[in-house]
Amino acid sequence: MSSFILDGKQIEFKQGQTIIQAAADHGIDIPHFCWHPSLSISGNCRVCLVEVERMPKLVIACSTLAAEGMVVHTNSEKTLAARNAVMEFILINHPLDCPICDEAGECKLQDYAYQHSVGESRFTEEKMHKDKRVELGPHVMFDGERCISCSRCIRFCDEIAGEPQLTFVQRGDRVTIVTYPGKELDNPYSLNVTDICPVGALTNRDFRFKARVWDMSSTKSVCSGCARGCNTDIWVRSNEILRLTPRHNEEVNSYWMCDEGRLNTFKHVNSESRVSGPQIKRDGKLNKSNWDEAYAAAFGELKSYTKDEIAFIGSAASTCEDNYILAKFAKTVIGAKHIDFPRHIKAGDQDNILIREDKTPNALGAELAGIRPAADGLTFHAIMKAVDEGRIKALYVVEEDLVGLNPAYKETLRKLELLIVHASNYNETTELANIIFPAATYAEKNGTWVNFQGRIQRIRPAVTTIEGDRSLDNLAMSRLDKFGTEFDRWGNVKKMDARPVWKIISGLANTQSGKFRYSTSEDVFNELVKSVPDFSGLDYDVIGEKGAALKKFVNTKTV
Amino acid sequence: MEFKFTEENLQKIETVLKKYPEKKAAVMPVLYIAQEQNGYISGEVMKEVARVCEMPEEEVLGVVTFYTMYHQKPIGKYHIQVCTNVSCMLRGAYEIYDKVKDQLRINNGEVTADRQFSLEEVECMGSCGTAPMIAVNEDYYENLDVSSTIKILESLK
Ligand code: SF4
Ligand code: SF4
Ligand code: FES
Repeated sequence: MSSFILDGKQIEFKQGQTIIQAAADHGIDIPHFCWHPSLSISGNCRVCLVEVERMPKLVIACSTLAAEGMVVHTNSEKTLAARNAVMEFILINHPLDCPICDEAGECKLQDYAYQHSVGESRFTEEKMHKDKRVELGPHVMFDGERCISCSRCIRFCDEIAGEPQLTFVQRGDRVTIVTYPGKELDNPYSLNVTDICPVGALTNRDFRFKARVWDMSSTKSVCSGCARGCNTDIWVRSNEILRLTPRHNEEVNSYWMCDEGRLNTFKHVNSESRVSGPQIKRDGKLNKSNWDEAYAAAFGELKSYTKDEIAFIGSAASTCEDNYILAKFAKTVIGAKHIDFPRHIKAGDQDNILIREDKTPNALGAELAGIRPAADGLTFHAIMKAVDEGRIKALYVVEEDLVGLNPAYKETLRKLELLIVHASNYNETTELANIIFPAATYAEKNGTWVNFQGRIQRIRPAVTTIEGDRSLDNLAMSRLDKFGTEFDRWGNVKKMDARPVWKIISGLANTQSGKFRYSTSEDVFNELVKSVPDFSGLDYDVIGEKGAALKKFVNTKTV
Repeated sequence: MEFKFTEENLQKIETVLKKYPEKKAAVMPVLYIAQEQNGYISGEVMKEVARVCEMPEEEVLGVVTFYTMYHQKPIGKYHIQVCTNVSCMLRGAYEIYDKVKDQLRINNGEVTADRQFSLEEVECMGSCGTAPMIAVNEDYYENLDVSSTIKILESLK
């Protein structure tokens, strides 16, 4: 391999790599605005200027190819002077918006102004004024004054979303970003431009002005919107999710996620419709009960049916751990054979970028973890038919809104004698339930999902429940968690009395056998690994932050 | 209003396109032909140019707004461009510019009511050696002063 010298360090590079890429591969960050590892090179911001020995002028690191023996300086006097000059130049027309700008705290321009700028401007004239609130599309707001014309957003639309919806118009200091008159920035991936915009010019209309970034904690998670399982960060303040952002994982979603997943997979967590505390129906009315009472009631009821009369419905939205425990309970404690889960396929809603037809994050995992009918058991549709015909009298449903899935099931479910559901939110199915267990959402628990590529990935609690212990669950801490007092809002946040499926079912099982002894979802996972060969070799550390391919899917190339 | 190139212009475009490795590269000359035919570049014109050059209309819009020589609004029969860049300015360009505004009773970027004249203050037109200068449509008038400028305007009326 060839190498060059960067600030005295030897850096190996592949032929065709630029200086900035080679440096990035070695964890060295050369200042840049317009360069983005997944977009074409534009070379317009000039902040990446570096000194290369024996080259007459400074060169931009983002488009200069690394060459054998090159000696590059990123902190020499000349480089620093150039960087200062570039910063001063970019800041000439940049408004002093930081105190009211959503980007503050995660703004490249702000960071570089601290790190690489002299902190003074010689520009005494009036700054350029431009439109400050342009609705570029349904989700994205544009502030013309903050834009530094790096063209990342334009290139994203052209190259990644495949819809060239943005362009520069005018030139010089009048240059600005627009959509074509009469058109909008409305591609299914539009919000990614708000992540890659290095400044606060493009903001997420759903999140604007909700929180300062340093007041939120961010937790590494996975999107629940479809079988892709885009890696995400969940941003929380005062125990409330305020936004999701994509997290880089080249194997799954690169730097991106779709707008649908970003906007519509977390609001139910904060919603008023959450179920908090177990609910038992008596005389047609739901009453809150305590957990032990609910466990005993549910177990007692289940036991009064024969195993042919009972069916269990797992969920591709639940974790592998949840589904494993459900299957184990159904098969070993109840002896049931009718066990399956419904598919959520939205035919045609799929593209060559990220979006998958299967709108669940863990269909593969649910199946592998044991949610399959026994040899003589019924599949999901057959189960529903049997319910309709009165052959199945008791149904145990985990995290599925069956009526929401198919309104006709409303009549079907009415025919049941016993309906037990785990639900995070009240819905049309819970209306018909005899017992409701409040389910912790994916944002409140640990666990794993297997995406359509056969890649297992971890979710982690970002929001705490009543029994959740922030330090024990390794919850990410925000400034408020660390420094807040009981007099702050954080001391009085809303917490749900909800539990993960594996824990509820263990509680249920233990009213009799006492054999479901797990204190964390990791315990469940370790048992799952021992009993299901497809998971062998895995543990939570191996899966880590970026996931791991299940053995039988290694080398099957799915994109 | 739909815009279609005339047969004659379509032939011109054919020849122009041949000069470039890809159609997109011909966008500027094609826009010129369109402007000649239509008088200015409307949204419909941009759509048609985008189609002919096989590129997104967003990019055509970018080109049109980048160059001041493309007009997005109708201009006068005589489009008067007054240079006020350094060389011309030092030799009295602002007096000329003010006089033209005065005579035509329009401001920068405006068109007279009879659509005869339009005015634009521009940067360097590459004629510094003969400053100050103005351009009327494609023609340069150089080494001007206020009175010679008035004469030019009179001759056009
Ligand atoms: S809006 Fe943001 S991403 Fe787009 S050009 Fe301006 S600064 Fe760059
Ligand atoms: S593509 Fe799927 S997993 Fe990715 S963000 Fe969208 S819904 Fe979520
Ligand atoms: S990062 Fe190199 S010029 Fe912008």
